[in-house]
Amino acid sequence: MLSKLVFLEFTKLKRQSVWMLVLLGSLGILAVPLANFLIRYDYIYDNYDGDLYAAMFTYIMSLMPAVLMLAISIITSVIANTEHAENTLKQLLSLPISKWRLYLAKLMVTMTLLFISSVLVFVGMFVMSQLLNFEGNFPLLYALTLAFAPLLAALPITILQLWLALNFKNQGIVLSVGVFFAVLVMFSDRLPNWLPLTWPTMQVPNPLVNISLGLILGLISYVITSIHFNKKDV
Amino acid sequence: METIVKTTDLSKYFGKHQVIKSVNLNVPKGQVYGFLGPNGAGKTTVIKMLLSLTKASSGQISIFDKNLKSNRINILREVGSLVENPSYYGHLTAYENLEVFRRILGVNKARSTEVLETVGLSHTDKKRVKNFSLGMKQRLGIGIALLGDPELLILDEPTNGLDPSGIQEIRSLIQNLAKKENKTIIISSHLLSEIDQVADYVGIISKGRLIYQDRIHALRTLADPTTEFKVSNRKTAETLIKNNYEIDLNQEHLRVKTTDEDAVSDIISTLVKHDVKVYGAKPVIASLEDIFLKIIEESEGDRYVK
Repeated sequence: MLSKLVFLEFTKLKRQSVWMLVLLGSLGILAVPLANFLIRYDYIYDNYDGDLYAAMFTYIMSLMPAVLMLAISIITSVIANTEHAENTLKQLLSLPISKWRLYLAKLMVTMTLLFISSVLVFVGMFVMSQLLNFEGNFPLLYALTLAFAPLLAALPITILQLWLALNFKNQGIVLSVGVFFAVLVMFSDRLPNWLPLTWPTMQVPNPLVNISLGLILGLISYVITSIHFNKKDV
Repeated sequence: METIVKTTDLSKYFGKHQVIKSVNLNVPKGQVYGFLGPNGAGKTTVIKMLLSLTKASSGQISIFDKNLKSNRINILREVGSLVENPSYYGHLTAYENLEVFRRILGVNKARSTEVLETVGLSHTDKKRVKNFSLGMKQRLGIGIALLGDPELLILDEPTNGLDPSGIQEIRSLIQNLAKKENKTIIISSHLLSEIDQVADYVGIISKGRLIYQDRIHALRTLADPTTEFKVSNRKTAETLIKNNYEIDLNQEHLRVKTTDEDAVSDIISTLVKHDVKVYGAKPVIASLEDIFLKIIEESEGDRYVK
C-alpha cells in the first residue's frame, strides 16, 4: 500500500511546476560558483593556492543551507497543496488507508525530490570541475558529503515544514517559516550549535555528528507529527 | 430488517460547544435514507463521524455490525462517499482522477471506464477537471463514490449543481442501486422534493439532535388532514362554520382541518343553505416541506424518534 501511495503522490505531481523548481534550485546553486570562476578565475586561483576544489566547495557551502531551507518549504508546500487545493484530504481519508501511511508517503516524496536536487548538485560539481580543468583528483567523499549531508541533517526541519504545510490550508505560514529559516541559517555561526537549524551548515568538524543528530531528531519528529496527523479531525 | 448503520448516543463537542447531542441513527439495509435538517443542524458533522474523518466525542458507531473505531479500514472498503463539495485533482483528467482512487481501492482497471460511463463523463478525454463545469465536477464526485462498488453510499447533496436531466439520472441511479443491488444509501439534502421522491426512510436532525426517524410514509401522516374549499364569499363561509370546525386561517382559500367525508358534506350543505356558492372541495396533500418545517418548530423532544 505504501508504494502505491508513493506512486500516486508522483501522479498528483504530474504537470506541476515543482519539477522545474527542483531543476532550477540545483542549477542556481551551481550557477554562482560557475559565474565566479568564469569572471575571476585567476583571482580565485591565487587566493586558494590552486586548490580550486576548495574554492568551489566554499562557494556552494555558503549558499547551500539557505537554498535548502527555501527548497524544503516550497516542496512541502506544493506536496501539501495537492490536497488543500480542492479539499481532497476528506476524500482520501474516507478510503481504506491508514493515515500514517499517507503521511509517510508524502514525506518520502518530499525527500525524493530533495534528493534529486542533491544529486543534480553533486553531478554539477563534478561536471564543473572537469570543464574548468581543476587540478588534482575529484574529492569524491567530500563532494558527496557536501551534496547530501545537509539534507540529512535538515530532516527535522523538513518534517516540521511538511507538518505545517499539511496542517494549515494557508500556505503562507509554511513559506514564511521557510524564508525565516533561510535568513536565520545564514547567521548560523553566531547561533548555538545545538539548534537544529544550524545542523545543515555542517559546522561541527565531523559531518557524521550532524547527520546522526538530524536522523535521530528526524525520527522523533516524524513519530510525533505522524501521531498528531492521525488524530486530527478533517 | 438488518441495520447497516447504527449509532448509539453519538455526541460531538467543538471545544465547549456541543454540536451533536446523543444521536441514535438507525439505517436499515437496502433502503434510501434521507438525512434532513436545517443549515447548521449537524448533518455534515454526523456524516464525517460515520466516515471517521472526525472523531466522535462520545458514543458508538457501528457499520455493517462492526465497531467503526476498531474496524475502520475494513468498513471503509465498502463505503463510498461524497461530502460537502466534490474533491478532485484539478490538473488531472477525469479518468486520471478515478485512477488515483481506483488504485487505492484496489478494484480492477475496467471500473474507471465503467464509472465514467455511468455518470456521463466518457466524452471528457484530456480535459482537466479544473476546467469542468460545476455539474461535471459533481458527477465526478459521485463517480468517485461509486468506484469501489460499495455496499454503503453516503451522499451529501448529490444533485447540487446538476441540471434537471442530471437530477433525474442520479435519482434513477440511486433507486436502482437500492432496489436492484440492495445497496444502502444515505442522502443528505435540502431539496425535500427530491428526498420525497427517492427516500424510504427519513431522519431529521435539528440543532444537533435527531428529532425524527421513521419511514417516510409515517412522516407524511404527521400533517393535519385538511380540505380546501373554493367559495364565493369566504368571510361569510368562515363565520358559518367556525363554531363547529377548525379553520386554517393562513391560506389563500378556505381550509378546514378535517377530511372526514361526512364533515365535508356537512360543510357544503351549510354553506349552500346560506347562499354561499361552493365551487369545489379537495383534500390538501401537505408538502414534505410543510411537515418538515412543522417538526423543526415543534422539536422539543424525541417523541417522533423510533
